[in-house]
Amino acid sequence: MDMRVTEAAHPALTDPGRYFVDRPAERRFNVHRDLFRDTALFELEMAHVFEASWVYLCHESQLPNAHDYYTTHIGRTPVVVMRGADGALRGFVNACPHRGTRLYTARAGNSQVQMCPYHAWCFDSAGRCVKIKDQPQAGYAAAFDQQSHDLKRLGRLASYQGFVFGALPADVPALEDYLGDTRFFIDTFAEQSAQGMEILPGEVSYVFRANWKLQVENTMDIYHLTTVHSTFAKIVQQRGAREAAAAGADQVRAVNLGALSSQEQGTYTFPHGHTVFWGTDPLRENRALWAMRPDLLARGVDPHRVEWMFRPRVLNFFPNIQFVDSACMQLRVIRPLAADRTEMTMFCLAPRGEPAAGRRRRLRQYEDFFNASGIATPDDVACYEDIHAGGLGDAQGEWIQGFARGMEKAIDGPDAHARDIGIRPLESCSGVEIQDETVFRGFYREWLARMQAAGGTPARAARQARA
Amino acid sequence: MSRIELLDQAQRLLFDEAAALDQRRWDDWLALYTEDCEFWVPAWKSEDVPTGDPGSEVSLVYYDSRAGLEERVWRIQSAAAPAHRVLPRTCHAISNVRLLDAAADSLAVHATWRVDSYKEKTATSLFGYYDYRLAGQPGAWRIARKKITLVSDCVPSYFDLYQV
Repeated sequence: MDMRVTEAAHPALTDPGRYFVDRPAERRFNVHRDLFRDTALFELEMAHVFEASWVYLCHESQLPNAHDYYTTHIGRTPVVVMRGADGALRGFVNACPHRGTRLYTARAGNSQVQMCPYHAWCFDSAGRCVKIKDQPQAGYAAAFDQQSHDLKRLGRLASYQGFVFGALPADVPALEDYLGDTRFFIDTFAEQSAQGMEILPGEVSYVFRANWKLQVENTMDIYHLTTVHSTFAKIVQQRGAREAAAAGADQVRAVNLGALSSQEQGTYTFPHGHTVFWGTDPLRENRALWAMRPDLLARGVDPHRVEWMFRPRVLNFFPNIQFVDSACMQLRVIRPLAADRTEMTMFCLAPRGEPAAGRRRRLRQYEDFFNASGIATPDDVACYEDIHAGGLGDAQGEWIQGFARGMEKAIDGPDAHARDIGIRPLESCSGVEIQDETVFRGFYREWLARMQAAGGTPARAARQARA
Repeated sequence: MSRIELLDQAQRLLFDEAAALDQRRWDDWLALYTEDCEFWVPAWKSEDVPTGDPGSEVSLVYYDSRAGLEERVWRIQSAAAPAHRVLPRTCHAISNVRLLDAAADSLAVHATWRVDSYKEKTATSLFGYYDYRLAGQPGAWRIARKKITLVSDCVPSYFDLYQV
């Protein structure tokens, strides 16, 4: 039990109606503005959303060798993932059991034995305490000797397709069950090269002044593309014209957002709060991956998956990573710092063995759209911050008016595309120009179920109460 | 021409660029660059090492011609980008300017920079190093390459080219 959580009577745990109106029969779903600004709620989210189940940690390519390590966080807890001498990955709380000093300070490295900087206790790459300084003559009692001095192991650590996930508690579902049918979409990221995938060198991070859930919403939000990213769309269009004029010069080319919004698109909601957006790319031959398409088909990758590799798509894994593929692939890791402060860390995922020209194009597309120094992401971030700068619209009432678009079009269960690829989402919404908002509900329903479970209501009962 | 005179010319160009950006004289800024200029802000691959190859590693910004800078200027002035609804006031400070190499048609210049930005009553700063290659001839230099190493790379919110 996390003793920092003292808000047992917080309405998030006991009163679902305080934050949500969720009446499917009336086609009504509303979220209260306090969800984005309540500082007590933030601590509860850390405890029950981030520290209570699986979160994404890293990609196996970031620690390929024995004794490699990689540091990150699960909620408020510093974590280190290590590859032992036996080649196995293990996850630990990144703190010395002696006094709690952080052990590994670099983001990543290689360390056969790590010495605590404070009192020189030493740990091997399997997390075992191998030395306590001056132990024999120190006068420790037998009670001390009977304790384990090894690093505190994560409750669970598991990989799927090279993506490494961890959980502080051990009593969580098996990772494959937690991922469920979202695995189809992870496969479309992971199977683009027979040689596997790699994170390209160069980690980019920024901290914005807004609630982390706005980042989750934004990545599901097709509705904002044509307004927020109008300058991006215009620049891409101008490049196309320039390129045509220059006949073959290889400028940065990327997805055509205006055209994207008017093509077939959809969203899926999965158990455990995971959500997917997908679209249709009218310029898919501009993708770096296009050159590898014949190889993909020749080596027997499921043609459905190959087809979906060329669809713009986003998988929001609940709660902390977004697998994004609009023109190129991006992994976005969300780390909430406070109710109104969020750290984003972004990685460029690429197929190993990609031709040099494709790799270069991929990088330019990635930097163009996704970087906080690019020409698209800053506009998203500015909008999140404007939501906070506007006090979340206090004068307009307590309930946000999002989440309504597509309400009459969303259906329970799979749509035709989902059936086609053999996945069973809880809800689907697809069509042309729908720019659906209903998919956000899946995320918030899981959020609420976690809170309710912490307040003593089992998640299943909370779901049944809603229905 | 002496190294002191060449260093003085290089410094003037660097300071002219800083003034053009701080004063939002965008066309004057663009005119300082050659059409085939390279503009590069590397990312970092560890605590100590910035990315070194824009062909295989992530950069924060990479353009291999002035067209990319022109796109940015258009975007800044478009009034359509949420990130640029209010432009921050900026203040470029450049110091430690060193002439690393001088040829008849090319100068290599290194400098240290800090840019303070101020918007909505909030100040932020970014800092790092510049590595320039100036092309042309004495008295008429233009920027053929600018590499900006952003030391403080976990940035507040976002930034654009006039803030580094």
